[in-house]
Amino acid sequence: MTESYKSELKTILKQNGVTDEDLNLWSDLLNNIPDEIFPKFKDLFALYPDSISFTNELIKDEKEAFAKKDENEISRIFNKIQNYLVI
Amino acid sequence: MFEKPPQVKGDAEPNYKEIEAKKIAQEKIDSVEKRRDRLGSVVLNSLTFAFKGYAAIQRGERFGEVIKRGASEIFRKADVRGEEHFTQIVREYEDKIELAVSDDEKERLSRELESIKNRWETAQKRHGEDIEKAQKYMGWI
Repeated sequence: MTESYKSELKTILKQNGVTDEDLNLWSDLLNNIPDEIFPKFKDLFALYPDSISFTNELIKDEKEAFAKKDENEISRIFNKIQNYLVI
Repeated sequence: MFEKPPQVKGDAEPNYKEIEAKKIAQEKIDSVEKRRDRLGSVVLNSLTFAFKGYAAIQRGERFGEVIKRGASEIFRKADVRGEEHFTQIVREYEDKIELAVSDDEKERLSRELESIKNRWETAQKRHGEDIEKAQKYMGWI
């Protein structure tokens, strides 16, 4: 993801209460996301403001699950996503 | 004395109707594309992929399989939802066309429906490409 995309997204996150500590985690992840997906982040956050806090909590849970390679935890996270998306 | 406004005749009229139909079609397609499930499936799966769990997938670890299965399920279910909403829009139009009180109205609705179908095809293609990009990134395909 290019720098301007990243900083724009981080500004949106910060304006919506994401802490500096959490922003560091976002910074790492944003480097790994294809540029083309970026407008979808903006649309999701603008249309569904609750998605910002949901996503912020989600990546913290995922960080833990990935670090431990905890299969049950990652399954639980995917269920949580499905519930949030109502699918 | 006021000047008479120019009359829209000949080729200009069908053009205007086409533009109007495309505008309405885009609004209908946006209503599906900007749904929480549709946008969220791409955004949230992309974030999950950003953790680079693909190393576990490529090594064939069970943890990798759980990620792959979970993310695929989200893409699949969101796709089904999108199709359902599109089908609903088409059905509503078909009903309206059947109940149209004049040929003009029937023609307008048919034009809009045609445009909606065309735009949905494009939207689905684009959505498929987004998923493909994410999957390629994960090394699944």
